[in-house]
Amino acid sequence: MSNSLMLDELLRMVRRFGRVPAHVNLLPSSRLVEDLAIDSLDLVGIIVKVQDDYGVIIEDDDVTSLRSIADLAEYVAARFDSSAAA
Amino acid sequence: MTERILVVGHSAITCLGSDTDSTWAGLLAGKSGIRRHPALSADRYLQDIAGMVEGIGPGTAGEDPAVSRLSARSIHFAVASAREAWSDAGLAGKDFDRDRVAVVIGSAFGGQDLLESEQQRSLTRKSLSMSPYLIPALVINQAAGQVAQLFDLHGPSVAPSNACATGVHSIALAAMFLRMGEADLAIAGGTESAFTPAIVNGFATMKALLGRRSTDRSADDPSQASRPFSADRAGFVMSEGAGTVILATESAARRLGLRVQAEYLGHSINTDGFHMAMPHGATIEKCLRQVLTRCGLTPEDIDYYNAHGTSTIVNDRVETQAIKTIFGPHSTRMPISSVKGAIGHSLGAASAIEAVICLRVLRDQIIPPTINYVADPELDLDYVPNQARSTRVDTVMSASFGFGGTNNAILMKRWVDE
Repeated sequence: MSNSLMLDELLRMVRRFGRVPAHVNLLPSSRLVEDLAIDSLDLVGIIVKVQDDYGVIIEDDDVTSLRSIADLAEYVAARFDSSAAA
Repeated sequence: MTERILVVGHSAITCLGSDTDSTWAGLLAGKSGIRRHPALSADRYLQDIAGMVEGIGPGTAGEDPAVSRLSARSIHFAVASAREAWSDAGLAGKDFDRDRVAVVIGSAFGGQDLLESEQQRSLTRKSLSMSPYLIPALVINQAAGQVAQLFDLHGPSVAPSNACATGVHSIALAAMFLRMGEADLAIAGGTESAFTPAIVNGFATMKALLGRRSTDRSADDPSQASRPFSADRAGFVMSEGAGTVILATESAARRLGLRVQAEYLGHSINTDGFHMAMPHGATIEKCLRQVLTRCGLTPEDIDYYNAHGTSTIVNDRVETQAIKTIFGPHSTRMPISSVKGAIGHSLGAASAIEAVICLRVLRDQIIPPTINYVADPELDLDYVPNQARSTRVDTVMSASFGFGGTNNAILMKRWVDE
């Protein structure tokens, strides 16, 4: 999977599971909490969904450093297990 | 004197229809909502004949965005039913104290369906994480919590869990909040969706649920699986759904100009203290007698008895005997029916749905039949077999009994505008 394809998927995932309204423009640089106001429970929902879909484990200690969608994409790309992809 | 409690709204969501009108029309037409469901596959389920609600719930076209994160079907049914009842009551735009509205919505099993799917998912997951929405959806009071959130209500909210008697226990508890002066209005009912292997197979292994049998009349025609009071009844048929009523004190109903649908006369709730699952005739009789006494009525005052009538060998026999004991000579004249023949047994939702059906009986003066009925010489009362019956109905009794030995009976009366 190319990084741009993954980024597109993550953008869609963040919009859906973070319940980001349609009028809000989503960019790779969009910060999940500060810019998108995603609540803490939905944020965990996104993390679990990413873990399920990409077969990665996102460590609790790392979550705080994943501030933007681009951060998330970079983290997943480095650990992505293609055998787990849907 | 304590003021009267009135019913001002209602809703039933069943396997016969995703709203009250379609359920009621199906019941009066003698239709069944029971069929085979490929989702209940033979490699995982001991029975695939069931009553399922279509078009409502997580992942359906009709998914309610208000509860999209809480993927327990019981929560979605409760919210859909509350929306219909709220609309039926005409409460939108009314000026009332939102701190004085109670929400009492119970369930026997809550979000077991979500627990099952999350456990299956966790088998393939590398981490031990669970959906962050699992716990919020699993707590049985979340249905009440979501209904309160939806309508911005801040009075007491509780979630009774009393097996197959849950729905009317909830309604009775709501009436108590009103009688105690702790609320002016209440949304009350039961909700259920518990089609998991553990629960279906658990009921089947107990022989409470109708099993898969090639010689049973359901083998060729699944709609004949649930047959309360019939000679060849062989267990209940599991279904799902939700039932909701909206109660108001008489003063609140009058002040808000609400359309009164019936008077809630009273209830009786008691406990067998006898067995984990078997009904106990003597305590059920006490329950039926007590509600009559409390409401100052005689057996002859009851024009229709809406039965628990599960289609199990034991329940239908014990309930028939209890009716004979309490109603005496009137028991042979009083129409009795069980809608579980048509809509199966939706466990914690069932009695709330049946209360809603009683409201329609009072409104339309017609009794839905006990379908699939074949006479049992041992059970010789008038079960309104197979065909709806138009008759004068001023006062109804509805009763239900649950595992754990919990029983209830309620009385409701036709409302004539004064």
